[in-house]
Amino acid sequence: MSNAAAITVRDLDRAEVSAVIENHVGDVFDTGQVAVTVPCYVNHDTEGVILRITSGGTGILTVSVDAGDNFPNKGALETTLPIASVTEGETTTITYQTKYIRLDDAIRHLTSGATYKGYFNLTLTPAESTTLVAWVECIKLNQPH
Amino acid sequence: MANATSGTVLDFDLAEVSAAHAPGDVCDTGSSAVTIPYEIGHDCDGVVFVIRSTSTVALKAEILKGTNANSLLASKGSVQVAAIGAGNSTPQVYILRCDDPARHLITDTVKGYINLRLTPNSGTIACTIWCIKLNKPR
Repeated sequence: MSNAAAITVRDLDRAEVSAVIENHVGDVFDTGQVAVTVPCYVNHDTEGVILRITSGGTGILTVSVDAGDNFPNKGALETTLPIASVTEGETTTITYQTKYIRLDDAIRHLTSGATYKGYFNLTLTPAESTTLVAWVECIKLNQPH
Repeated sequence: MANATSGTVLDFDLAEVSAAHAPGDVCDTGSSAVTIPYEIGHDCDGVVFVIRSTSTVALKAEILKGTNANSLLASKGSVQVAAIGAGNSTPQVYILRCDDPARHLITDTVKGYINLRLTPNSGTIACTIWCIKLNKPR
């Protein structure tokens, strides 16, 4: 049990099919009752980013894409996911809530930081006195090569 | 229990967030191929399909070749996905990107649409599909 240290970026070219994403999840967050901030390295050559956020927790999950420092930076984007209550699965029961976030202008959220690879920070905040249970999938829409 | 007969399109503007648990379109009946039309329209920057397998039966997903005669672009061949693995214990997700949907559009109606075909492999189909339309800036 540990939280992912960074968000895995899945590159998707035009008219391309991704690899299987097992367990409908991506990066796992399942530890602690405090907010977690992780970087998502997308670079600058993107036509957009789609985040698929799934919450399996017993409280409301707050998700925010932090404002970056890369001019012209943009304010943080924040949303919440309700308590997991949707059950799905034929032989395995999974209870969850899912939202999608489109970041078409990801560059405005980018933090230049100490690396050449621009990134944005994603913050997941569990409800008070509840444990973080979330999965994050990041799809980067590549520019044409 | 029934298969979706038309697809739900999630319209996304710039930096937009979907509703909680956009439920997606469910196919859970029968062992033959299912074709679902997704009414896209022409005004978008691309389409992303997220397909989640939830049973012991693997399946194949295809974005079918369009017949958009009005497009300056030649219609494009189908985008085919290798089998999506059985997802009984660990549901699996495939993601397809259709960046130039005009090439896949069927134009029998005023609003162009894309046909998505799902074919189960020896067994009952069981999957959920989300269609994310990337709107152009207004």
